[in-house]
Amino acid sequence: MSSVARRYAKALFAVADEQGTLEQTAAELQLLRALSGDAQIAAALTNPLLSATSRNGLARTIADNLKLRPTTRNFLLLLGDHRRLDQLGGIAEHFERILDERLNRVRATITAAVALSDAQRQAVISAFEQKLGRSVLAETRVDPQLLGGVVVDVAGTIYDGSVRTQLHALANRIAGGRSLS
Amino acid sequence: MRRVAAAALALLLPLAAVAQEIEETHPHPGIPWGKLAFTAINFSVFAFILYRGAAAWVRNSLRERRDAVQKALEQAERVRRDAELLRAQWQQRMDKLAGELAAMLRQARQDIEVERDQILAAARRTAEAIQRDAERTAENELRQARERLRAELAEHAMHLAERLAPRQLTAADQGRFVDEFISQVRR
Repeated sequence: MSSVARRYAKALFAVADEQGTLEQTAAELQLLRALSGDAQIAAALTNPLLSATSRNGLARTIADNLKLRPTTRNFLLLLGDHRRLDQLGGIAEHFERILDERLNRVRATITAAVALSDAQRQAVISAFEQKLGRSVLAETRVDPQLLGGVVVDVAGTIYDGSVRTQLHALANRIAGGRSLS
Repeated sequence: MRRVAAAALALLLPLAAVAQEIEETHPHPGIPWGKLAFTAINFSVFAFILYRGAAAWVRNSLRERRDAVQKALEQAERVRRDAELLRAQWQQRMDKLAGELAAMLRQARQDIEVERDQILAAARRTAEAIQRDAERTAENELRQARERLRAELAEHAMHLAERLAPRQLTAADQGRFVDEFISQVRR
């Protein structure tokens, strides 16, 4: 993530905070981020041969189609003017990070071998909220290759309780000649 | 004296010749004194001439021969003395040589014993090193074989567990895994 993206994200965060629209702005930024992930749209956004008029037209079209609120729409047009549309992904990521810090929350990915029930999912989230002292915004996934158990990725820190990892550890202990007890 | 003898001979020779002539012309029985006298005188003349002519040569020859023999004897004596001296020197050297030889033999025996001990010690050290290396190699190979066996065993166990787990694990097991994970996180 570039320092340019951080500066734009902080500026937008300040405006949204002042307007009290942090969550809505974050949601719209995520839409823009997903859009800029598309190869064709990314190529158009980063094309240096596009004229200022064309770039503004492109930004306006995107804003209209996504029905963006005025703040986000103006921000998008501003990025077009400044030839910074290619920074959308980084800006959205940093905005989200600042917002999470402000709301004292952390994002986590919970991956289980089989789909977790709501109670299990909530129990895992509660356990991490208790451990970290912050609220946890969790995304769940299913990966049968884990065989059993759960793997949780909290902001890059991995908590691995999968059966596959335990089997690997067991195999390594057998191969290393260490006691299994 | 010599002149007198020569004159006597000169006179006697014709007289003897005359006496022989008389004997031949007037032979008579008995001893032929004339012939005998002539022969004796003739022989005396021959002997005198021989004495006068060959005595000096014979004397010289004998003297030279004697001198040569004398020189040869002296030379032989010198050679004998030199040989004696040489023999004495050699004897002395031989006597010394025997002692030196004995000392050399003693030294050689000592050197051989020292060298033998050194060779034996080196051979012992080499043998011990070879034995240590062999033991170390055997231990390493045994350890590697054990490790390979353990690794294969672990790999087989892993594959077996991975194949069996999806079929064997129930929903209750999955729930238990999640509960254990949660309790570990809370710990």
